[in-house]
Amino acid sequence: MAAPPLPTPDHDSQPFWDGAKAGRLSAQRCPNCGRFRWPPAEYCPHCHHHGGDWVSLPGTGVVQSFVIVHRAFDPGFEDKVPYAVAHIALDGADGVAIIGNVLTDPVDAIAIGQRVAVEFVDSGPISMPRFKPI
Amino acid sequence: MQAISNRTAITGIGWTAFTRSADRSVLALATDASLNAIDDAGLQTRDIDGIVTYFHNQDTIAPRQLVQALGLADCSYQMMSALGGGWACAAVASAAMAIHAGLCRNVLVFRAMKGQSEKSLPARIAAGEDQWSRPFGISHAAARFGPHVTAHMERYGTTSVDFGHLAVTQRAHARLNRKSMMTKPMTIDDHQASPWLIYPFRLLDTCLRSDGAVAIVVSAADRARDSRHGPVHIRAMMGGTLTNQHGTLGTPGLWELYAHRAGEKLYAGAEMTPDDVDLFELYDPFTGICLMHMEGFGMAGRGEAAARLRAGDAGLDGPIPLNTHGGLLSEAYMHGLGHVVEAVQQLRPGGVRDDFCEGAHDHDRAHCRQIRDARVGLVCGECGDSSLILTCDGF
Ligand SMILES: [Zn+2]
Repeated sequence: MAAPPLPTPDHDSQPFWDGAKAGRLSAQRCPNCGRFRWPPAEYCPHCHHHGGDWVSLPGTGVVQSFVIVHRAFDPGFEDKVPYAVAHIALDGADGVAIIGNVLTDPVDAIAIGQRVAVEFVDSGPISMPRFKPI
Repeated sequence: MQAISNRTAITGIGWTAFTRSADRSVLALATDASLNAIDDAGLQTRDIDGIVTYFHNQDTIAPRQLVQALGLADCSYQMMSALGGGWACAAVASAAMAIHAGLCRNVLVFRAMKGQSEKSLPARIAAGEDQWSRPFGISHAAARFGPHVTAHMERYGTTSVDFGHLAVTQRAHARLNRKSMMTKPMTIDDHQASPWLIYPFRLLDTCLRSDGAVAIVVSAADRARDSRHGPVHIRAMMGGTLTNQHGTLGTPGLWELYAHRAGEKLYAGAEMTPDDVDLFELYDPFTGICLMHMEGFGMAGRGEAAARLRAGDAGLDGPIPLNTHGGLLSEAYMHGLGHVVEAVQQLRPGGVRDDFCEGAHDHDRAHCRQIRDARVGLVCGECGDSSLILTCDGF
């Protein structure tokens, strides 16, 4: 059975995955204009300042939208269907929405506007965030 | 008007059979469709001096391979973009710009693939931007684009039955197209009985996978007058308007695609409004995304595409005929270039040549798919990221 592909951290994303390993959800904020950005990048897309600060977030957010995968097109997810993938607007980081799995029972109990909180699941070198309703 | 308006024209179109398993190489498919398009334009291979294509997932041959296969002695411009279905109309725009700039006389645009028989499995690594999606189970485009549609449903009350009306309309059109892979009649009940693949999409909301190729020839308008089937003029073009796909930049939210902004710019470039357009060939990877394209390009107001579909307005005899060939859902998955071919066919003096009419088009929908009085056509790629307005000769 194939496993889901794990993320490959890079220079821009390493602090996010380091934070995840420590049980912390984080995002990057510009020290010049104070705005958040996503995905991580060296330069601020708003003011083009070089560099960013990593800020710990509360780990809660709101489901903006979602899909429910009933048929896995990636063999690594064959034993996981059906599962929900959502865009989650993160509390404490205005304008940042990340993609994540939301666990509800049943799976179609997921809804736009639902409030969720993160937890981390250890997958060897990486800790993967996932979300549950609160 | 754009400086390039009406300065270039599409003079040739060609295609191969569309199948689930082509017993030949992608290069052979590309060569076949290209020779057909060159012949259709009334040209010789030596008249071609530019080649453009696009791809996703490395599924194609490169233009240089086609230069070799066609035995071109001379080539002044090659272009190959990784932007996939978003770039379908930009490929044509790129060819037109090379001609308008004086680099080329006639540019061939092709899309060739074995999308069904040699489909690629998702990679086992998730690096770069993929690290934010693939580890969470997004590998199919339905999962990547689906959140836009779920958000549209929440905001406007759009339903799966609405999507059914689009799928059924396009299937009816495909049944009048000799090229179509899907010709079995479809009802709303059939649509509603089809299984969920990735909610909000059922099997019958989802594009085909196909083996095959299509090609078109773009020429300078002043040389195009004598082309074999008459020129179809390129009135306006947009290419690569892509912004943030997650709706955080440039769009108010996930329920709206950047097509709205691209549509405004396209119509301004043509000095036209949606009321001027006689037929729409809009990228349809999934029903719900096509429905959002309808709103982006002004076929319907925000949140109103579903009502127009339910009213039958998108049919061949409706006020806003849509995907008159069957589209990616029912004709074949030719990554959007098939939509350009269809618009050209509808706008030529002789009309479409691969419906079931014997002789002149009579608009009897038992065999004819020709639109009445087709003079202006609009085509768009994925999310409206590229688009064209085409007009019949003499418009
Ligand atoms: Zn800044």
